[in-house]
Amino acid sequence: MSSPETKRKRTATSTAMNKKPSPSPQLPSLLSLPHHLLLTCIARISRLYYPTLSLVSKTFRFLVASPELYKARSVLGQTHSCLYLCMRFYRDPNPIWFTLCLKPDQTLVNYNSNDKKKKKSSAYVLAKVSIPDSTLNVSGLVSVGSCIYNIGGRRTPFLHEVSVLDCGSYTWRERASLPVEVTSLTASVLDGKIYVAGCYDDEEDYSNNCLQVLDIETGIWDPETVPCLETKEIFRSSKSLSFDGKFHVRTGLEVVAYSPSDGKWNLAPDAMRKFMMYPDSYCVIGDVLYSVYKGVFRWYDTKVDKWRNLKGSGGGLPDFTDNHRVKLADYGGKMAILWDEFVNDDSEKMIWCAEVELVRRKRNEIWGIVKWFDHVLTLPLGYDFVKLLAVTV
Amino acid sequence: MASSSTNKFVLKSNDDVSFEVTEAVAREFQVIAHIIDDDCAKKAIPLSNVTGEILSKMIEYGKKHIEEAPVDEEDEEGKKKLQIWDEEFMKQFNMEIVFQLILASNYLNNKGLLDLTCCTVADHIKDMTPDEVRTLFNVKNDYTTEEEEEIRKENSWAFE
Repeated sequence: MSSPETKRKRTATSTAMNKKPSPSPQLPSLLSLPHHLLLTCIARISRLYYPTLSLVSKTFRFLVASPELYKARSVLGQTHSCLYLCMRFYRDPNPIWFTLCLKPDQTLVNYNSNDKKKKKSSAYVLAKVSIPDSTLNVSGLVSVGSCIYNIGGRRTPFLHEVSVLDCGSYTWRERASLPVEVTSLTASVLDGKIYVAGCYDDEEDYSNNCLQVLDIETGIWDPETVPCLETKEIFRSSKSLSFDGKFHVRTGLEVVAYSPSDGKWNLAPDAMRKFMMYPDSYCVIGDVLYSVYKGVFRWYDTKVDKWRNLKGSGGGLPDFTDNHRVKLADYGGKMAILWDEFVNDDSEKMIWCAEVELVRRKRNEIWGIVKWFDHVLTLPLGYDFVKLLAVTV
Repeated sequence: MASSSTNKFVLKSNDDVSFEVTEAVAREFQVIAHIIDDDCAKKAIPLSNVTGEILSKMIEYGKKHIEEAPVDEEDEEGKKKLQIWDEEFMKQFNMEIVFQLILASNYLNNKGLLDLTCCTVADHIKDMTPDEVRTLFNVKNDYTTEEEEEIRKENSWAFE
């Protein structure tokens, strides 16, 4: 890198000569600003624009992935939710990551600083992000702040590795492994801790459940696992969710909830399980459990233990009745919805995304207001949605 | 308060343009406030890194923010009015001037103007194609032809 100091001085002297603000043929370059001021400018841009910015030049690509930039964003209070989609393509062992971003509209050109003509709104797209390969354990992917935890990692043949992806710099770091190796696991965050429910086989080949707890702040696993004697069903291919102060595990036939406050497992009401069907077709947003099933969006009212329909959510969205691959995620307190549909004689699929604001109008009434939905990517067949999640960067 | 509105100081740009301002306006710029506090402001205060053209704009901004300062934290209307003025104020400048304002407000330490000018740059960059960013901000595309090819392939969404 050439020294920004020298560049700045040169610019300062040369521009001082130009008394008139008329555009000179040699405009000062944005990169001539001292580094910390350049960072302050870039930090103020929504991260939705960063994929486009990284195409401007190599310098920009490094800039938008630099740790100082994310420090500046955090100091300026400019952190926002950022949506990630992890996909796997058949015959490719490595997952491919996409992030939601805004694609600039290119119909208007020759945009200059004095021309305040508003451009047409940009379109949302899924842009591929270069994340170093890592063996993912899909059921162990959870977002915490600006990071994605990959709990379980490689199957060796057991799961125990833990790595963390920093979504600013896109680098993986290893973390302390799970104290107990498991054969299957599911993880979720509750009150600054990651709870990992899993199962392992003992010496007599009996399957046992276990619950392991990681303190996110210290990065240390509780030395003792939480006893799971009260849980009847084995935590195999199960899914966990945290809400209402409890860690819930949905197994094949039931939902059990662990309450850290009294250290007990309890069977959740039968009603809860009813609309927790397809993988990621249910999620927790703002401590409320939501679900989409056969095209109907619902939320679970813990006060009366029943599902209620989300009001207004169908407004403008396509009919999901027959789509079992709709995924939901907490997108900074709003609901992100992802789905796909066959196009071009079923040889390709269009991927769609929507953002829905959730508003509680009465205690027993939540409205879903569609902010936007857009066609975000078209892909040939042969992929699988692995995980949809949002981080704050 | 009475003294800061009657006390006058002279700010002198690096191209020898002088501006007489009240103490309150002068104090909008942290660096000048320190000079005043250190009692080093007997005569004109020379500002070696700012041209008269830029300084006059900064004083205009400083004056406005003194005169129209919101009454308190709750004065939403006052804040809104000032915000609208800020937006209009920035519209008159091209990027070259915006850059000079960033440098000068950093040098004289006026956080409000620094925030405003940096936001202006940010607002311009978003919604721009990579090519537009390169043109408006004079950024050289330093990707090699091969890299560019690769990038266009990988990011077809951006170039469709």
